[in-house]
Amino acid sequence: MWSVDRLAGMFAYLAVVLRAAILVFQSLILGGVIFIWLALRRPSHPSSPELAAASARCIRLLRVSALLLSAAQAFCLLVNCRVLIRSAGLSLAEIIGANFVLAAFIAICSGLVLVQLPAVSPRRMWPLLGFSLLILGSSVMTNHAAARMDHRFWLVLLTTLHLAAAGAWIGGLPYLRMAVSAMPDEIASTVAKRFSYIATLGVSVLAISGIAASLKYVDSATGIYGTSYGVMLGAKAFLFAALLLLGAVNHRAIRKLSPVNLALRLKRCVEAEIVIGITVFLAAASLTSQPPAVDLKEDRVSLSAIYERARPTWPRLKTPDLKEISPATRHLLGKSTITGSTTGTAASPLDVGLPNTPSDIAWSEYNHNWVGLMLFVMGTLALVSHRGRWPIVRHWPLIFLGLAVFIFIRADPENWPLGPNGFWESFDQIEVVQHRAAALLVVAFAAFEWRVQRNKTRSPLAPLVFPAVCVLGGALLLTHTHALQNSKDQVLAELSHTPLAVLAVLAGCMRWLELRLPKPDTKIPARMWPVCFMLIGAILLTYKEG
Amino acid sequence: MKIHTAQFGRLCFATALIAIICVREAAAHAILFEATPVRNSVISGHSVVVRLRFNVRVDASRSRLALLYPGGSLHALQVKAQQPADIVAADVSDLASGHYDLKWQVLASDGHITQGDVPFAVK
Repeated sequence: MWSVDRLAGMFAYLAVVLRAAILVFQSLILGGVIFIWLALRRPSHPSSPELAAASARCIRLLRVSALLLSAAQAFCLLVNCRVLIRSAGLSLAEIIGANFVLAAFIAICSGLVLVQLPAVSPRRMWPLLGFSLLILGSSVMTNHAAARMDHRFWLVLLTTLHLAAAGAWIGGLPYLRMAVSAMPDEIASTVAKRFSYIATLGVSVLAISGIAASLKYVDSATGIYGTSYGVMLGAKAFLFAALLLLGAVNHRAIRKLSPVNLALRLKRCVEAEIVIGITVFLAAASLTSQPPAVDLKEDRVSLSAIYERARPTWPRLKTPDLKEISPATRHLLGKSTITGSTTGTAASPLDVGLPNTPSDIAWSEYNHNWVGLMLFVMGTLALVSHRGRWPIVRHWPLIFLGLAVFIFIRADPENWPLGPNGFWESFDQIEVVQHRAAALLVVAFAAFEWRVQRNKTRSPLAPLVFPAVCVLGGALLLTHTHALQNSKDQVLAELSHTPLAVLAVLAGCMRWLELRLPKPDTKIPARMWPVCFMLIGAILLTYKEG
Repeated sequence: MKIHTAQFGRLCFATALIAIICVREAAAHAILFEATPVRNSVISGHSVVVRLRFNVRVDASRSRLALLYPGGSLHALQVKAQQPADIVAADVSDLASGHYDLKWQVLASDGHITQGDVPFAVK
């Protein structure tokens, strides 16, 4: 009953992954229904085949989203039931009446009905609206709000509004992109104006409900900078602000530009908004899996501790001796008994309860500082390469290869080639798998971008690998790790890593815009993403753990 | 640069999929606020009413309590029918002197499972 085996841990991991997927697909459904209903209704222009085609494509995306939501919910239900049967010894019959089972059942059935619903059109939306509201309700049932003891009614109301507004705005963006591509410029301009009203209302409701709910979940300023929940909330708010800025640019363009000039710029900005929007959903999924700051009264980080950690110091560029750092993780785990851990939490030295030694800290700081130096140099070279004076600086992506080798060798010193654990033997530790996947991603990143910088690639997708990987890296870092115990070290680590994640996402989006916008509009994004890289490098250069 | 909507869609889908895969496991959010007996306390007498209060509503009928006896045997406790939604309780009797470990596992309304323990001693 109390053993937490690796299989259950993997299932619990999957459950979190699926929750993020559910949030994305649910928003696509809500956004799609509202877009088809309000933005594609009764066109002021005579009906055209392009408009009909755009409607058909939007409806197809809506149906696909509904199918994927049902699949994700069904899989999530299976995972949760499996964990309950394994760890709590409950039978399937006992689980059936649980709140999360009921919520999943409602979402699965509603999703499947949406997939099969005949004669979907902008004029006949009530059945679609009804089932998408059921999906929204099922999501609220398993949210923080529904589980609270105090102010439950208001929190449920605010959460419902928040999720609906997020769906209407962010979930509607892919439909806007799709519709604008498929329509003549004039009709696209009309549809974009209609969506602009929806988005403005959505943003307002999103901001008001988010702030109001935060006042209940975060009790004071220390709850923001002193807890993991608060730090993640801050990141979400920052990304929301970036999204808002892009939305404002679109809003202005819709009113100022001619339909011909509008379409291309709108499509490109919406693409960047979609990317940031997905990242916001990932942050939100992580947020719902953490205890609210108001419940974390102990171990909050003080401002003086933050200052002490963030105070700029000379980087550590000399490595400690390998013999001085702690013994291999595997050997520690073999000797230790883990008690009282959360189901599914992968065992790590932190779980075992052994503090890091000064040499461990020095090892980690050395790694971070050197990575910072490499990224700072890369950002600087990328910025300089825009001037075109020194052709050699175009080869800056090659520095990534050094970074990949560095991560592979030094990230997990207990494993091959530095430690006693074999190469294959260490693959059952999730952190090791993540580090090696990251090293591989960096290699791919280097290869693609090097070819792009030398104009050696013909594939239109190849240049987009760079921004996609930047955003992925940011998303990975943003959702990296969260502590139930809210340990001070954990919060301090998140305080230093979260700005990196946000900057990585912004760098990816700016690079995306540089590649995709018409030439006269690329000046600002072309200079912003190297600056983001330099800032990431600067933060890592002064990174400290002790 | 011209790419087709289908290509863009595939790229978005792949990015979203990998981003979702990158989400790392997060902790469940039921936190133990109060415990009777208090953690690491020494109690007297042969019986105790175990009462655990959490930060959120928990599903008591699907939650579990068990007591690890000084000899190393683990006995499941009968969880009381839930009164307040954030409390899991049980009666324990026939306790002898020694160190005990109360193991708990609760199911939150969102399907999250949280485990923990409360060690205590009987004099």
